[in-house]
Amino acid sequence: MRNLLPQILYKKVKKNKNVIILLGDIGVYGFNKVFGKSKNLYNMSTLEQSMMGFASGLAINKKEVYVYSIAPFVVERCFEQIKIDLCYQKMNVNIISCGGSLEYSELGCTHHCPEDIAVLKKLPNIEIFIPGNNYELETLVKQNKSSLPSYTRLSKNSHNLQFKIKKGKSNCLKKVKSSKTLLIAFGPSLRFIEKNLSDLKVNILYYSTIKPFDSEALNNFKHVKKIILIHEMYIGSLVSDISLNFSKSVKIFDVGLPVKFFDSYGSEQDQYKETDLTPKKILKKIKKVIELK
Amino acid sequence: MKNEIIQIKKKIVEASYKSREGHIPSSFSVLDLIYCLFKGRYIFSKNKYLNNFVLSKGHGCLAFYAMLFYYKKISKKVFLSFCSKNSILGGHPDMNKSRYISASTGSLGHGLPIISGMAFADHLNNLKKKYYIILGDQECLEGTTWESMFIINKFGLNNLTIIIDRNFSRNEAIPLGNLKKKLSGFSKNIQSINGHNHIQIYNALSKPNKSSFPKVIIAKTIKGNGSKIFQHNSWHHRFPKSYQELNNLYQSIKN
Repeated sequence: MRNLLPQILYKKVKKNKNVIILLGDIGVYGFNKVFGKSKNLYNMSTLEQSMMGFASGLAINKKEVYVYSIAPFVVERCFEQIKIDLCYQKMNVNIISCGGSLEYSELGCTHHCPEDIAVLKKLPNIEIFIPGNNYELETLVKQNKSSLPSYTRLSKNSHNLQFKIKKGKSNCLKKVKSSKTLLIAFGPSLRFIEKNLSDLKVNILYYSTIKPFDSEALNNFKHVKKIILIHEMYIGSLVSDISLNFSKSVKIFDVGLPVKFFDSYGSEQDQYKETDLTPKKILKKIKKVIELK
Repeated sequence: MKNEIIQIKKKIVEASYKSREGHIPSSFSVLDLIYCLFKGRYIFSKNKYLNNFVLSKGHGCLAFYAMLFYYKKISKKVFLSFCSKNSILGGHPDMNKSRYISASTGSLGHGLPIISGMAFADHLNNLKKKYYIILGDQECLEGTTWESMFIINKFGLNNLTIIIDRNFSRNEAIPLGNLKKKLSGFSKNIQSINGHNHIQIYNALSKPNKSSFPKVIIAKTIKGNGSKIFQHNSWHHRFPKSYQELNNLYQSIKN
């Protein structure tokens, strides 16, 4: 997704000269290669808070702005700027991050961000997307014509399934009337179960838009008793979006990252192995939940 | 002119009395600066100049609202609705409530990055519009002030005038020291003036800026200027509590 982003935004610029892209000193080489010398692309280096305020000022004067940097720096470092300058003021500024969750595991906890979406979704007026692959990234950026601020979390991981998505809507990947279990996967995390989709005799929903949350889709599954969430955020990040739509008798099994600092370095895969976030372990968990009465 | 300022100050006190809200001394600190921006037709003189002013120290907004009322941009009813339910004029300005408010300020350190973006957007579109911002001196402690100065320098935003309300109100906490010297690395066009002397304010505003730097005006002011009562620290965020107190305050206001 990271390699594709400059091309997607270049297309935007070609169509609309009021599109401005601000980089937080990331992806500079890739963007320069695609854009060449351009009045629409600026590397704002490492002043994230002011970059966000600056972006909102550009948007006040009718620019459509994209701000791109590493997740912790473009979310938490400038959280109040996102809250006030973008959300409160309702500015057309689109934040795009890379390296969410533990994608920069080797670089230590300063570069980790499994809480970006949980933090941002509490803010009014922001839309949040978590594309699962290149096609979804391109579709979501294309379909995002809202003048409200947005956050899109890019990932180096992708799922390999092909189905059409629509901004703001989830996808029902499988409906098994007899099953009392609903499996919900978010963005690239669908890759963990993609090979087992046909074998799993459960209902399966997929979300590439987190906010506004497609609650309507859950109406078709009011009969379920068990819900399994699969994602790469801190556990609890998405539970309220689901639980508010169901009665108390539904049990939610949240498969994500435990709330802790992953301070042992190593690769993302090393961390996922340690937290049982692997296709094999997840499948085992799913089967166990299905068997539960 | 002196009489005008006294009348506007009384209106500020009246709005605070009615709403039981507001930062009166901070408003008195910036009033002369905002008055000159209005009167000198630097802001809001024509439609194309509607959005070219940000009061970054949003808590001084009663001065700004009073000037909007004085210049008949808003009615008396709207002005005196200050802080009441569904009023368009709150304790800090909200840009989505009035076309005269360009940015929602209140949390310090947000105005300068925002107006820099506005000025740069015009720079890209080759518009000759000029932008004015008032920062509180204490606000200059916010890191975004200095981050923004780097941005302003990088893009050569000489269409921006930064006015600093230098009232030393929190100097005992973290002193700013020689602000002119500290800012001199970012602009060669810095003027220090008396922020209550209208001739000095007009001279500083009208002086052409031929450099590639922003114009910086360090305006030395007195918090609660014009009334000895309001100059006391206890008045930072306080309103007149009785009719008698209101009258005493009216009496205390001199230019």
